[in-house]
Amino acid sequence: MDSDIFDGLLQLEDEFYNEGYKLGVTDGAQAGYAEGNVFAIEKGFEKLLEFGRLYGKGLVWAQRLVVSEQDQTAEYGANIVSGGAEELSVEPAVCREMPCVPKGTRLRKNVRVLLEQVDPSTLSLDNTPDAISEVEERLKGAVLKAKLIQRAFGERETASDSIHLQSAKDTQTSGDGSGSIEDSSSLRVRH
Amino acid sequence: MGNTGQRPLAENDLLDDIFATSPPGSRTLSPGASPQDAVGPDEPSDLPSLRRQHVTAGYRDGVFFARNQHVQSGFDAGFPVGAQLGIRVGTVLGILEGVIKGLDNKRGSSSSQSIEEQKTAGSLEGEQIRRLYTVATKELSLASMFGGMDGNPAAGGDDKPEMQAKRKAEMIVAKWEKIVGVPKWEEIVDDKAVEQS
Repeated sequence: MDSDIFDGLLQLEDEFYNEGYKLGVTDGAQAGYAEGNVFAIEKGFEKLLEFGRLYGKGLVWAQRLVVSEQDQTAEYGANIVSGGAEELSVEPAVCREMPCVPKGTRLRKNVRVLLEQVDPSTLSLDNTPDAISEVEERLKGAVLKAKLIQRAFGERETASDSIHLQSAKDTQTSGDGSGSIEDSSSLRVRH
Repeated sequence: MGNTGQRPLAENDLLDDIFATSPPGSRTLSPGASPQDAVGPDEPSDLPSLRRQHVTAGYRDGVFFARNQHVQSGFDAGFPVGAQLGIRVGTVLGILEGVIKGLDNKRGSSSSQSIEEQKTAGSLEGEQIRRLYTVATKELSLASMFGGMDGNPAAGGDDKPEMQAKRKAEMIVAKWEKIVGVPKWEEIVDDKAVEQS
């Protein structure tokens, strides 16, 4: 190949190529970032939704336990859904409307442990292997606890609950050995 | 190949053996390097097509290279944002579900005394909360909060895509946290913590 003749042209081709390459790097970086970003937001959302859900349920159960210890007649009839149609608000006082909760320190302990397990303030939400596996471990334990508590409260399992529980059961490998023991004891509390 | 030393950028060397399109290394095969072009860059008629061809090839390689590099960083930045919103939405829905179940129970096990009074009061509120829950599941769904998001910066703004998503979802989530009164429900956790200490 006679490089003397081609040099000028080849140089020019390289310049064109590099000009395009630089543009491509800028656009590609943005496209790649956006692609990973949108996907991750949805993944993160879905992964932690159930976590929050158990936390919310735990808060209601804890409230019911507290209310059942208080004087049932005190402040009865406080606004449960307060405000006008536009500004509805669900108040914890709604728990006074609910049936009495079975007594028992084990149930109380279960609710407390559940709330600790799904406490959002003690959770790392970064996408690191350690953080992810901690989330999964805690969620697994919380699902089992929630199931026990739910039974103790005599709540029916809805279709969506069963799905969550089913998937948790499928992924359960070791779990905590206390699960089955507490399981049977809470069944006796049920009425 | 006698022209290796003339490549201006190091990336070209990296890409030469990856891409079959038309990086500098394979230029002898490209139509742009046909004998007619050998007269040099002074020939004006072929220059635009030569330019287009090589700029396009470079662009394609650049996009591919940079895209793969940045997908992970985009994911790492987006995950905590989605996770945080997921927990908050879950909490709202969980409280509503817990309340609905508690009120359901009551209706099923209510005794004969003052059943009428209970029913009127209970079912009305129960119905209201049930309706709230239906609306909440719709408004707090992935599709409703993040739908239509392509991750590209909005016209005029150079925000990171996760910040746009956060802003958009924040309004909806905050509204529902207020409706459900999440802070009031959370007081019980604080009380408990005090109790234990």
